[in-house]
Amino acid sequence: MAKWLAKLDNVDVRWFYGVLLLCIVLASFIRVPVKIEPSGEARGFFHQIERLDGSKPVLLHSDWDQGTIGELRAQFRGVVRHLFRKNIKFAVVSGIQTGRQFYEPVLDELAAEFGKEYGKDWVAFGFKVPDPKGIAIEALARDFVAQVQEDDRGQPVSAYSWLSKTRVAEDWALVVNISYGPYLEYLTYFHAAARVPVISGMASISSTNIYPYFTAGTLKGMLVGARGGGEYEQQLGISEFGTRFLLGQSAGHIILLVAVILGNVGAIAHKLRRKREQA
Amino acid sequence: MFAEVGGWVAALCVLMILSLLWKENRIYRIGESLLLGLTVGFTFAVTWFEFLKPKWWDPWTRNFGTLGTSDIAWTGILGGGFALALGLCWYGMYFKRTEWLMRLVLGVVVGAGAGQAIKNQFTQQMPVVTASFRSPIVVHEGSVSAPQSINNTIFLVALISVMLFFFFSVDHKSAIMRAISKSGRFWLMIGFGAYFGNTVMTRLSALIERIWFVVHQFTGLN
Repeated sequence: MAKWLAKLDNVDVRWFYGVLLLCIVLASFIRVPVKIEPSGEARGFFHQIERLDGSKPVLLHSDWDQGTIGELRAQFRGVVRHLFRKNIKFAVVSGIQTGRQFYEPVLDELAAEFGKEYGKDWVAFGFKVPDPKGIAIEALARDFVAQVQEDDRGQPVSAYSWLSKTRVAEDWALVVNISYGPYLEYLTYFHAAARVPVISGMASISSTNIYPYFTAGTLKGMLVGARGGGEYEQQLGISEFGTRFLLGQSAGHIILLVAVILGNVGAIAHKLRRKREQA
Repeated sequence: MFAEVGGWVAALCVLMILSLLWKENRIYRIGESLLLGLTVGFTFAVTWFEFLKPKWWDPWTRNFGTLGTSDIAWTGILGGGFALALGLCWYGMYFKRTEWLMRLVLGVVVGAGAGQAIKNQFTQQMPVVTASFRSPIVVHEGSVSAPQSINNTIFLVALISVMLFFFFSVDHKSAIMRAISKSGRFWLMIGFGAYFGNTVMTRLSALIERIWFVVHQFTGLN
């Protein structure tokens, strides 16, 4: 038994990859209802959009692409769905060059579902928040029209009457930032300077050091990783990719936990065996 | 049709990259080079067409049209030229004799960054610091709220012990300081564990999405 267990310490890592991939593939075929209790931060996020009356537009910063699509697409879809459902007009900007390629299909699909029209219900500006982000976000807060100039379709901001008057930070109802790690400059130039609430959806990896801003009340809501997307769908009363994704993630986590336990058992058994042999 | 072909190419690229899990191979190398090349080309094109061209090149060249007229737009011409000169200074780093040019523009960037950082300290960090001053006893509607009080007490213990862990003006030799320091290390380990757990979760999410994408491509399952 000890000999067999000691072998676990030297298992070819490709077996682990194989089992992990197999479990993820199997999880994609499983359809079971998942019920999640939304966390305080996800409820805060939902509430900020729910309380909007539509008198001012929303600034939606979309920074997700192939690297973060697993965690952030469901969050973005949830936000857009919520805004369309409540007839809130919004403008989309991005801080990454690939941003447009990812937000555009989602917006087009949901617009068709809700019967919304580009230019009337939303406008997208593409890559208009380059590095250094702090300076670009400050420029957005000072004069949005001067910073973005024209939209994805080459139209000037003045072509959209509801948006042409939106110039300074105070003219926005809310800032929604969906990105790998939230840009805290929005707190400086929109929340602290103009009392515009800021909410953020982010990848799990960035969430640990962002929680203090939520507990301090400066960040009004958070969606954290794949869980955040699922929580948002639950609050919207739907069950889509975000909820289903949690099943795949749980499968992956179980495999990781089992691997960690087996690896430790193997290491201990190997050590004991060597000690016994030396004795 | 175009999107469908694109989907198959993407699925193939994912498999090429994942082939590294088996072992380092030529297919993976091709996939990696393809990805890097595409990223650099795409980034350059989008930066030019969506940002630099409409915000700098077009207004600048438009101002040249005013030359020879009575209303020459000097501000626009000089402003655009100044931005170009400042940007080109970055490339001074490639030659020893022109290295000082890079330092010039670096100074501007560092100065702007430092100015912003000072502002951010007050607007972002100060509310977090003031929110850390919590009462260990929370009274809610006339009675003590046990969960809130316990929560705040744990928070204060963690905060104080971690801060004392990094407080080196007092020798950590006494039993009390040693105990607090040890407790600080314990809380830090919990924090690092949370960081690590979240890192794993993000990496795994990226993998799951790509695997499901490939599965969807082969099976048509949504």
